[in-house]
Amino acid sequence: MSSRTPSGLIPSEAPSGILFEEALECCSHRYGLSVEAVLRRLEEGDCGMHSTLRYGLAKGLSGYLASLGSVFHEVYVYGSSISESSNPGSDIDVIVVVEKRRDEIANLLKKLDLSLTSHYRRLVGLKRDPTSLLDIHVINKTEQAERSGYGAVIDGLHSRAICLWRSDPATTGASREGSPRRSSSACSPASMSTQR
Amino acid sequence: MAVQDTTRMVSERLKDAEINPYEMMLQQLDLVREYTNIPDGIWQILRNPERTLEVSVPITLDDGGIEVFTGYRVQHNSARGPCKGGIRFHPGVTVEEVKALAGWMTWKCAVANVPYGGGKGGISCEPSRFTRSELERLTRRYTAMIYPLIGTRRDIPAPDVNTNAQVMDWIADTVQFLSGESTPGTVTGKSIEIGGALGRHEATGRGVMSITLGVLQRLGIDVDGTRVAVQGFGNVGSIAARLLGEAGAKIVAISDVSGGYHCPAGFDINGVLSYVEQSPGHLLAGLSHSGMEEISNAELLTLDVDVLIPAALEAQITARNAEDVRARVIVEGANGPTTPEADLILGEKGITIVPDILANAGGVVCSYFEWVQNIQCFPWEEEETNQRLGRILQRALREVWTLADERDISLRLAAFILGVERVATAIQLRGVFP
Repeated sequence: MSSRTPSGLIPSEAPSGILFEEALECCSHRYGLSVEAVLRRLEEGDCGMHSTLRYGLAKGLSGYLASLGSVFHEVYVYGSSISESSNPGSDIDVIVVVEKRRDEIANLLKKLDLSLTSHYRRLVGLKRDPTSLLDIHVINKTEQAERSGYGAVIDGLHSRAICLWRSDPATTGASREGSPRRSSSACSPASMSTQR
Repeated sequence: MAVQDTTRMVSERLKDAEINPYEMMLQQLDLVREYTNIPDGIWQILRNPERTLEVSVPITLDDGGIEVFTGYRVQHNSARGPCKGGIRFHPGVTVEEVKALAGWMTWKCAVANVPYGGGKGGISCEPSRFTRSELERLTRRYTAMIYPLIGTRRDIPAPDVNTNAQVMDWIADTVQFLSGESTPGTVTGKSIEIGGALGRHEATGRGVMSITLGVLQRLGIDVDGTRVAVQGFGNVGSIAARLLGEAGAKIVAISDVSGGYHCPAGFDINGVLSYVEQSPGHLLAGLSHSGMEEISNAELLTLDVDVLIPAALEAQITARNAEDVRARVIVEGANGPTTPEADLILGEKGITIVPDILANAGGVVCSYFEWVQNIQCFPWEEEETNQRLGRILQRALREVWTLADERDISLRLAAFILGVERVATAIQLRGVFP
């Protein structure tokens, strides 16, 4: 882009490259493979590898949203990303819990999606699909408490949503680094299930 | 594998990975869709530009060699009137960028409610490489190549990145010789002597001032003594600062690329303008003023002020500094000074943000006035331009503000909704030809 970019065309600041690096390292640790081999498996359409990559990305995304302060309360992932059934065209099903739905939240999440989708296509060598890597549903505390809409998915009997991050009321808004830090946190969905 | 190896491998794969600006424009449109009832067919029309022209622009260089450049002109939508939009000369110009910016112009003209659609053009080139005569040949050849699209009643170019009144004058002259008619309304932003509008130079800054006053009034803040910080002391920032100062506000901080200055008692802006006029590079560097301290551009953004006017570069208010912003009102004089993350954080803090699409619309509104005067062959006094500009922008602010209030949404989204709905309505009323 040349300069003087209007606000509608300003992308998210999210460090997509770092998020993908962390997600690839998750895959590498989990399967004991080099990142090069992980990328090959992703290009071949390995379902387990695609699920792990997506889980790692969702985890990185939750860290990024957490770094933005008190707006986001909880982040969950569900669907194919945690059931070893993702394919190269699969999206990542995410639920974020906020105090109040606001258009600025929707705008940011759309721009995050565009950034991650563009980078994902490039990384895995896909031309067009998926059109959208993230399928994010925003719910408020009331919907969560009443289990209405996607609030029901979090504790659903037939779906299994894993909590990736939950704000600590004591520290909410205390940290804002602008980008997630590298962590050695768990890479596989199974190891997170106790956080439900 | 070491983390550095992963970084290297990912960097290699993601090298030159860029987000397609046109996809971003479409996502913005999709967000608006969630808040409107625009029929699917109309939506499909809005998602696609009407015309996209790619041209090869060969020029003879001063050394006798020939070089070929790629240029574009995109007409996004003309349902509300002839397309309007600038021409930029920049190495980063791509067809996707021009398409996205043409769409942006469609919404911008509709928000201001001037009878235009949206267009944009550009040449992928580094203009600083050219001599004046090479730049003139490039402009004239490009104009000839896009000539089938442009015209007073079809598509009206204007200045943008790295183009100015001189470039517009060359465009006007080229069109006149190709058509055999004097048609100054083919292009706006011309020199005053050949049909430019009095007041055009000040229009964007004056618009920022007008919008700021309107917002202060709505928030019940008395302009007298209101503390204003202005980042960027170029054409937009300096004029907004001067006019706000004349209206009673206290300009307590200013900055440009050479650095920033804070004067809690308020600057004598006319004195600062005189200094800048004579300083090397027309910069603030070396300014002296009683009660003043030097600050950085970053510090200016987080000063304890009532109004912050970012009028410099894009992406200045980010996730890193948004929490520290203390202004009650931000008026986006520049394009895109606030990132989506910052927008979120500032909204959470209850800060009123007037979006660029509205705040800096003074330029395109004055372009409209220039075009009207050219068509009527009847130039206005500058005072008339200023009065009409204020009226149009106050009306736009009122409409955006009301919509944001009614739907409990940000001014940014309200402006987009207003613009997109107006274009959608125009398309529906016209129907689809044939």
